[in-house]
Amino acid sequence: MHDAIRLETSGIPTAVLVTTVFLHEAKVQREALGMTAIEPVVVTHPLSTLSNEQLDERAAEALEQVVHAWGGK
Amino acid sequence: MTTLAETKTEDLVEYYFEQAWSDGLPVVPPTPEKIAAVIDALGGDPEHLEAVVPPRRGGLTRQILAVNMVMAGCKPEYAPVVRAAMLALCSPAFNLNGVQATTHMVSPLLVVNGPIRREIGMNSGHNVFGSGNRANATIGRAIRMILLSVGGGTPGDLDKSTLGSPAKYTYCIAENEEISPWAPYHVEHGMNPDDSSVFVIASEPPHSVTNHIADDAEGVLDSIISAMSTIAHNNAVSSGSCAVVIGPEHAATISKSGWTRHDVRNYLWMNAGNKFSALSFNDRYGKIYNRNLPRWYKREPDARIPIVPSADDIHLFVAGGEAGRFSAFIPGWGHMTSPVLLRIDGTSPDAAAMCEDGTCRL
Repeated sequence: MHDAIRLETSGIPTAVLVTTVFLHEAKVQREALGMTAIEPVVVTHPLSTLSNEQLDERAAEALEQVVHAWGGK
Repeated sequence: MTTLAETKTEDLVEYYFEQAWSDGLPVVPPTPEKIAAVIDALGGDPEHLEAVVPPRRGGLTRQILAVNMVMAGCKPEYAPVVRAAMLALCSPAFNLNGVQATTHMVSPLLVVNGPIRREIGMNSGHNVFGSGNRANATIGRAIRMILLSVGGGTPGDLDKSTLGSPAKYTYCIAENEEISPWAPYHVEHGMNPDDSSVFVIASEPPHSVTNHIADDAEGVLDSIISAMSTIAHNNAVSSGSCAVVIGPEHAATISKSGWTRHDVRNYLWMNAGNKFSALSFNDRYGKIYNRNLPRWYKREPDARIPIVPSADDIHLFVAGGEAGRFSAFIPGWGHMTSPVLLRIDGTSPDAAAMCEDGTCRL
């Protein structure tokens, strides 16, 4: 979230990827850092130890959210 | 018959539990008089902001620092140590945000050097990591209470540590400079012996190293190397920095061999590590590169992967009691954090002065 807010502040649209268990932490960070409009991209926890097929599923979860974060529809 | 004052005190202890203003142990009710004494020791001005504590980024004013110190059981004269430790923990290099929120069991270890250790009665001898000394126990506890209440590191909420560790109650020692055959840690890093300092490193609890046989430096250090050379701790897979605490008997043996601090750190660095094949599980789960390790490491099965990138990333202390052939290895959290050394007034050691007189090779 820190990196994302720095990038966004310098005008670079940024997608912050978090897994479900860290969503609360991400929201606290954006409040604390003063950029409440930034919406994290949320995928199901965990990411470690996944097979390539499972990673494809996570990517599919993220895709629409990422496009939205980058300014698309 | 119970007096009114006693009843109030009992109720306050329960009240603080109910408000979640405790680390799970009873706290000392922070009376205005006790708070004022600590604020005075900090230099007055209760609204003065000392630090912003991640991840919640709560403001640590002198008043809030004082409240937490009193609740933890600190004496006012511990104030410079707690203050300097918090400044170190909140400096960007330490990445307290990550240290507080990670699933790892990491907790900041505080090591105090210089005359202030004796002035406030810190323990650097027997049972140095254990219970029984007010200064060690309550300075570490005050830091943890600030991390909880000001930093928001509440377990299960922002603190996502899978297991935690006992070091999350208190984790504070002093170097045993008097018994050490070598110059103290802060002198090794360019300070004067009369300076006092705080050093913080995000780390696991200590891992005991026993060696009751060796009568030379190599033998003692090879046991420490054995403790360092596993693939289970974060240094092995994520690099970073670690600490080694040499017990006085081991230190005497190493010193008798004529070895300096510099020799010790380099021998440990040169000989501790794993083969890349062990870290990559012999490709059992596919080809592994591991971006958390420095890019200059060879990713070949027989390549030696050091525990930390350089000998300077091994932070060496002498501590503990005069009897016992024990030392300790303290794995760090990884490259996501850097340890921080500050003078007791909160200023950084002058980088330009460091080592110019050769003290780094003591």
